[in-house]
Amino acid sequence: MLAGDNFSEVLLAAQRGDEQGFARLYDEFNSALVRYFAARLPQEAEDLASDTWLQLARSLGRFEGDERGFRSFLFTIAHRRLVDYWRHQRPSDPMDPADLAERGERFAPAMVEHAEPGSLVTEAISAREAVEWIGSVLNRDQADVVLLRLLAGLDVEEVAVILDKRPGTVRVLQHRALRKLARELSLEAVTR
Amino acid sequence: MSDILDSSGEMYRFLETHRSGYADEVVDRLLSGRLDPDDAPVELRAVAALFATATAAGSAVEAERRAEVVSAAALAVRSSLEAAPVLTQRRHSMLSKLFTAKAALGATAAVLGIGTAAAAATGSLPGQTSHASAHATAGLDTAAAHVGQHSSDSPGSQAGRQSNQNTSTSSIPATGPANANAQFGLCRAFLAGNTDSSVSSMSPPQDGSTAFKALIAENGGSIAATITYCQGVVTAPPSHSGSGHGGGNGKSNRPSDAGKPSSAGRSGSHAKVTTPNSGGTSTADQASDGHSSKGTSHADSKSHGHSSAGSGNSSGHGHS
Repeated sequence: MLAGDNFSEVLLAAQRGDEQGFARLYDEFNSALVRYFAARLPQEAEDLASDTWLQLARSLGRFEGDERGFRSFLFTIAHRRLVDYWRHQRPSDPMDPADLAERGERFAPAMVEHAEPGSLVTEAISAREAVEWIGSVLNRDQADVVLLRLLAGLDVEEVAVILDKRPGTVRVLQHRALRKLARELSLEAVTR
Repeated sequence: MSDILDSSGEMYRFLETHRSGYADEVVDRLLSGRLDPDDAPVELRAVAALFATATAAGSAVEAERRAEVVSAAALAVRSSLEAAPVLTQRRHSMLSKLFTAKAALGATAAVLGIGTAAAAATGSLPGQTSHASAHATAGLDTAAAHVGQHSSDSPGSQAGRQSNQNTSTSSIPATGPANANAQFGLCRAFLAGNTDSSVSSMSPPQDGSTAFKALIAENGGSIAATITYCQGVVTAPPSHSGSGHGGGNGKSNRPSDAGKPSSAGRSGSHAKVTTPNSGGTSTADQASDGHSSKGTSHADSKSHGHSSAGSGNSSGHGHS
């Protein structure tokens, strides 16, 4: 994570069109951005992330704020890009049951090998696979909340703004998401 | 149902939280990556581990893609910076044009408004000047129609009201000097249908219209007498018809519109003709002897339409 003092300098450089400045921002946030997309559209994640950066570049000159604000700014664009993608293309809806079953089966063997739920994930799957599994288990709203909180580091109020929901609704969604994830993980452990 | 519960606020959140058994603090720490799996509640340890994996240090970024994106993004930033002044300048230009156009429109509207007000004040609006003449031309009397309106009438409102009455029609007992014009026209029409024959061979008018019948009846039921009467009317057309209003609403000494009968018979005949008109129509008030409250052309039922229309109309204001 960029240090607070550094961030304003990096941002200023990026806003002037300096490649080095923009590269710093990219290195800092692209990984979370790609994972955010990968949880929903694994095949399109990199392309959608690149689109998001280019879209951000066009409006970066108008941005004012700190690093936290920048995160919110970036993931707001990302979320809208995702919604826009779903609205216009939907080549393979991530909520498609067949697709979800396939993705669930893809991760299931890795989990079967480990009896201890706490260790199975960290040892068996990569970060990208972890977010893809989260995206396959949760419904769209729940995944939105969990991924924006987890990957973008946003709080409830910030997520509520991005999703155009009330903070109370976001809290309910995250509770349900955690229950569902816990239940799925325990079921996986029991079946093993 | 769940949507309703979702929107019901804090109470439901409280219930949901207690049902899940996870405190908000734990959830917040978990979702912000600040909860170590070992410190997490037992049922959430796997979730905490999953989240830790999901937020682990990033994998190697494709160098080629990184270079492409960074270069393109930096170029986009520079392009937007270069475009911004142009856009601002263009916006200013558009704004100035817009303001110029608005100012021109405002000035035009002001001039028109002032001109209209001035015209209304001086009684020069078309509706005002034509008030009497329009009725006279149509051979109509407006006396009764304006009774009760007079006190509140202003030149401007009068013109507007007249225009609103354009589509109306009415049955009009023929009275007044305007009716003299009608008589003139009626007689010409009557004679036109009987010009080539002698009096003795005349048959009743060709269409047997109510107007002609009334005209004949007023002349003792004799066609010959009617022709004689009409010849007198045609050879000596009314010369004072159409003069106007008390209050100076305009005078008209134009010849009447011959050949356009708009009402039947002479004044007092009560012959009724539905007549389209250009200035609004109304029913003459016989009881007022045509003393128009507006001072518009008035009827003199005893003059057979040969009165000097408009004379003394000013004294008729408000009479009913």
